[in-house]
Amino acid sequence: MAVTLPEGNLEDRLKRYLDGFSGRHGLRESEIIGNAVRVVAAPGDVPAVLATAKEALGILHLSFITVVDRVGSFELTYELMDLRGARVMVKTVIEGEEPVIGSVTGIYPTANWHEREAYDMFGVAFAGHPDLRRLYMWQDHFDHHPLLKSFEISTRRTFEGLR
Amino acid sequence: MGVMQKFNEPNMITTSTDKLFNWARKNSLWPLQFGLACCAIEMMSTGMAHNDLDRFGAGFFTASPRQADVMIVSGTVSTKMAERMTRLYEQMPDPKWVIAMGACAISGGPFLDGYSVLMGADRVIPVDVYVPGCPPRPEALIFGIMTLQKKIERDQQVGIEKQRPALVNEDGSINEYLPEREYAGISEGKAPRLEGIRPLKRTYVFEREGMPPASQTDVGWVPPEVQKKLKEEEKARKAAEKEAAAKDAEKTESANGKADGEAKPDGEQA
Repeated sequence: MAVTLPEGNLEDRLKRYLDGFSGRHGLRESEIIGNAVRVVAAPGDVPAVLATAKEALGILHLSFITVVDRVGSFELTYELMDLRGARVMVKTVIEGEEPVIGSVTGIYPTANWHEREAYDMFGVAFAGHPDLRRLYMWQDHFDHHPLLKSFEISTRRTFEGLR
Repeated sequence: MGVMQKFNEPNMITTSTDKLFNWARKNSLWPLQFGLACCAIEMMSTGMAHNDLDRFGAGFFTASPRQADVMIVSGTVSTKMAERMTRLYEQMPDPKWVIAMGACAISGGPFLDGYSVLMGADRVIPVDVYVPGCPPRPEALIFGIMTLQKKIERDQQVGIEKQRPALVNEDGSINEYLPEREYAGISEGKAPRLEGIRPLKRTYVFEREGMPPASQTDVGWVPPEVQKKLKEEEKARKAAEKEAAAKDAEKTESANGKADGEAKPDGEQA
């Protein structure tokens, strides 16, 4: 598969990305910080924003997905790289204790395992994910999401039957 | 090893079979090539030229548990790894020994009260020698192996029916050193749930539509034109199903009508 990297110098590209995102979607915030474009979108718009990044703007790479548990809401960041030094942070906030958001596996295939990790550690459910199993923790006898703020380290509870 | 005696033939000794077999076993220990964490780096260093574990006959790290004599548990055993470790141990042929190397393999070490770490390898497999340290120096591991050799030397194995140190017997019963948790069948999802565990509130099951069962693990990226084609095929299929259903309904209706028509004259005759 022929890969074409985005053209232009860093400033041009950042500006093009910013205009591309804000022209197509209703964004809450959008700004340029250093070599990165920071975009805050509504949770429902995230797959559309990432589809714009992949299809219209030609950003090839999804680096990672981070989740922060803000007790009552979850903050998700999708970090994109255009492989020439510019980065795009797509941020969103999901309210509620049981977050659900659309999967971006169909846009960036690498999101498959990133989303499984986020589900495993935080319980964020990705609707439309083809295979949302736990990635790190074992499947049975462990019914917790360990990186949640509400998860208390209690070995006795974690290893019921094991220790 | 044995007593050299003056026989008529040269090169003869007398000894017990225990001593002979133990001597052979202790001088050709094959460790399993099995590294878990940073202790494995020290284990590698022990096997390399500077420390040269081959001097003690234990330098050949075999990659297959079927050929291994000793398992060096070198590093943190996470609970997910415990299943695999147990399976590897069960695959090793008798006689077999286990060295727990480092604080993690002994007791969980710095990960005590962690959410994913087993509190010591001896919770799931029987350990012969503990080598403390974080990580232990190569000299310490060598000392551990020499200690194991001394233990093997003292051992009385030949001619004595030893209890087979399997974790799970063939009928499914569990031997005593295994905790309550049963490892057999967990990977197949057959293990029974323990009582007293509250079911998880946040468990999501999503409908998987539009994919054949074989491709459910990873569909990857589907090109847009293929997606379009799939959608059209789906639409056509649904339309065909609807038509067929409509035809069926018509048929049954007409059949009912016929039946009614036939039934009426019968009723009149009666």
